[in-house]
Amino acid sequence: MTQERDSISDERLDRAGRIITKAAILSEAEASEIAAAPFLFARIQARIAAEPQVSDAGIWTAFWSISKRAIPAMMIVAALSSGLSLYFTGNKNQPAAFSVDAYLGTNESGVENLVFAERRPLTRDEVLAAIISKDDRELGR
Amino acid sequence: MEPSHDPISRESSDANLVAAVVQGDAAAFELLFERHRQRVASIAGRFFQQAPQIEEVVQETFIKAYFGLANFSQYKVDSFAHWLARIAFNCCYDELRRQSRSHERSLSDFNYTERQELRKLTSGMGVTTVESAAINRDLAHKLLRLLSAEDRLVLVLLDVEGLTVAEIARLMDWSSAKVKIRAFRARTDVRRLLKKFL
Repeated sequence: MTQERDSISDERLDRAGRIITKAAILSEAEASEIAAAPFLFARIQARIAAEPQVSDAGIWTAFWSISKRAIPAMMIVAALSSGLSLYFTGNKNQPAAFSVDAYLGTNESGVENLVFAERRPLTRDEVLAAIISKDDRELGR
Repeated sequence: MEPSHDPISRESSDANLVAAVVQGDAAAFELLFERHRQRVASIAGRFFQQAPQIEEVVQETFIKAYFGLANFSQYKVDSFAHWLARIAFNCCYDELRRQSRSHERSLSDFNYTERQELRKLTSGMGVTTVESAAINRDLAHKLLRLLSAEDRLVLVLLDVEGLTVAEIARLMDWSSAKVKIRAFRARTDVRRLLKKFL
């Protein structure tokens, strides 16, 4: 019963909707009058003639509008990436959580212990001094 | 069938005029305009009532048609008139969407007298004179502006143009499912709006 009342009501509303939609349209005579407006074709021709210029200008306008958004975004990305790279490069001098020395067990050997304990690369003089001292020891024997 | 390349005249077929326009004949385009402008204005009059809006749709339609004529043969359409109507409906749809972005309306825009008039109009009790038709049109437009552009378009195509779902789908390049969903939503929205008046 309720469903029937609802469907009748819907039908009535649909009919009212159709009346409204049809009431909103312009009559053929009025449309014809507007279509016969003077200079309508001249205006179309003028717009067609201006269209290539508009589209050329449109390319630059589009380029400019994209640039306005893209350039600041790229600057932010560049600043962030340089900031992050600086941050991580700066952290390189701090001791790492994972120790190579502990892994290789270099604490128990002699010269190797010294070599692995030194994080900075050996200079030429240090290498030469190590060789000479080794040679001296062998000669001493 | 290939259009013949006879000199153009008022009796030339649309296909011959289109071929002439593609070859740069401005007079042929004017003949096409003369032949079809009333139909385009009539389509625009389904959605708009102000002359400047209708003129804008007419201009936009013919400009788009002009630039699309070179590829006209690629479009799988029955005739130039059908193709032009498709462009006109799409221009109206674009204009409706532009309007719906700039206008925010609500039911409170309707005063007591307008609500009474709407009641009379929908019940068929109103006296139809030229003046009352104009008033009714204003009211109907005011009410239809509360709907979305898609809803309005589908309602006009279904109720005024009398097109089927398949024809609307072809015209607007939508899927049949989309048309059915749109039609259902449009009817629901109209019912919801009208329930507040009736």
